[in-house]
Amino acid sequence: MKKIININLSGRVIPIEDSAYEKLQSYIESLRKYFVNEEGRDEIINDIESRIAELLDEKIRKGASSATEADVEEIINSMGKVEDFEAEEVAEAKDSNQQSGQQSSQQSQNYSYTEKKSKGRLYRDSGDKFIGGVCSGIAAYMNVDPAIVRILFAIITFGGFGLGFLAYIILWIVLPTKDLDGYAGKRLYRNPDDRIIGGVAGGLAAYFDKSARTIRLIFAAPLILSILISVINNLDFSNDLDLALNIGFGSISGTFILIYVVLWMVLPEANTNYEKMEMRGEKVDVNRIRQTVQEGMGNFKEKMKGWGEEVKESAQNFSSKAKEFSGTRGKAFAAEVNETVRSRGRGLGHVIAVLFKVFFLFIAGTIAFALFVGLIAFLFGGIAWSPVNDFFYGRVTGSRYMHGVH
Amino acid sequence: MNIENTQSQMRKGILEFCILSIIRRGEAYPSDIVEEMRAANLQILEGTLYPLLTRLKNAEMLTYRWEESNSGPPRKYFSLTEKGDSFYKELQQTWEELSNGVNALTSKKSDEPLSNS
Repeated sequence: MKKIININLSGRVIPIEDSAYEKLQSYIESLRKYFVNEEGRDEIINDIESRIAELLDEKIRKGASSATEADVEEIINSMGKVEDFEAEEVAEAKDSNQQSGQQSSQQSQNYSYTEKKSKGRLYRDSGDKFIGGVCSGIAAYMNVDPAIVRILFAIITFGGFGLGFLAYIILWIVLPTKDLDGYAGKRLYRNPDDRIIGGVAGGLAAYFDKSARTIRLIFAAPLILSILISVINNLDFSNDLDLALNIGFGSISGTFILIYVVLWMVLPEANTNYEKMEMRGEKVDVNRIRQTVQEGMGNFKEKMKGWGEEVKESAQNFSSKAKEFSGTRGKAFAAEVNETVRSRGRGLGHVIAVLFKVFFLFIAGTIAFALFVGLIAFLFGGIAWSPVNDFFYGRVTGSRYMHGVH
Repeated sequence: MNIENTQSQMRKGILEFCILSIIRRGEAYPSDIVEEMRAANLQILEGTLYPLLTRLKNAEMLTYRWEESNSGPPRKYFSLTEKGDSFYKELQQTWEELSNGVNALTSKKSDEPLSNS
């Protein structure tokens, strides 16, 4: 039994099997990634899409009831897969980009596309970027979900007095850009299909394979508890222990709200089906992720130690690199930066738009929360001021909590 | 040094020349170009043709017009511009020089002495 859906491809309505559609979607997505630096990308994709539509339409008119997976497979083969393009364009890659050219000439043909990742070198990822592609580049380097790196950066920025921001700018300047075929696994998204506020809990639920209700409860529990406790506290004035508990839960709830806001800002929404599949991690072994998470929890201290050493090492590497850089590559790079700045006028506009969005969301979030707290304070009358205090207290300790967690 | 690399470089050099020569004979729809290339035993992926056409169009070598098709949305038909035509003529000249030179060179028999010795 197969589910058949109707899609509109370049103005043609085509009945297609659900699985065939997923295949087509991921093919077009791979083209989009492949042509990311191409000037007329949208036009090329449009042309290819309408050609595919024409071919599928032909099949339907010849009497097929719907486009099958085999049909899509056949079309993809005749259009050519991304890795086939690569083989054909080896020469050009060599001219335009020495590094990748060297790489592909060293590789034998049976290497798959995903293995052509530029391992071992840190780039900014021009193919998957939120601001400048720094986080995504780091993620590709360490082979983790870019969202995780983005979250860490956001935390360092909020908790470390803008330190993350500074580091980001430096990396933005220093790292060369490249279209990386980064992390291919389960990714953290906001889930637009399962949302109450921003879809954060829904996305986390899909990522960790739990029900969204559980995640929401985890987020909401400290807040509810702190309110409950403050109510109890107000009924029974003699108990000092509850007050301590109250402050404890209050600060946790502040932390959780901050986490929520950060995730809301940082995580992209899973809009296409391809992204939704990534979100649910349908191509990845779930056990592997569970194992990774458990390992991460268990050897946390050891890992931190090892990581510290790695950072130190890379810092040393970096300083020697910097010397080399200022000596030989400096001029070439300066020219490149110049060019990038000139050619990326539009990119700069995008950055400003993103920053604006970030600030807007942050301010809107803060205002919304302030209103919410005000409402609570109003509901519980003059006696229940403690949640408000907790909020402020929570904001300050929030960052301390996060240092503890990460 | 691998053989695929050298082969693809050889093929790539003449790809634009071939495409322009097909379009020069009359307006062409991309899949017709692919058909014609394949009929002449020159392999090309349709997926690599589209970016190439777009690039040539952006370089003002080609222009296109939409033609209503009897089934579904209009198709893009490509034709050569004046700039494309003179570009083609230069390529043609280069090709003739190249193919004559290469043929003359590769058809020499092994017992023929080197010309400068």
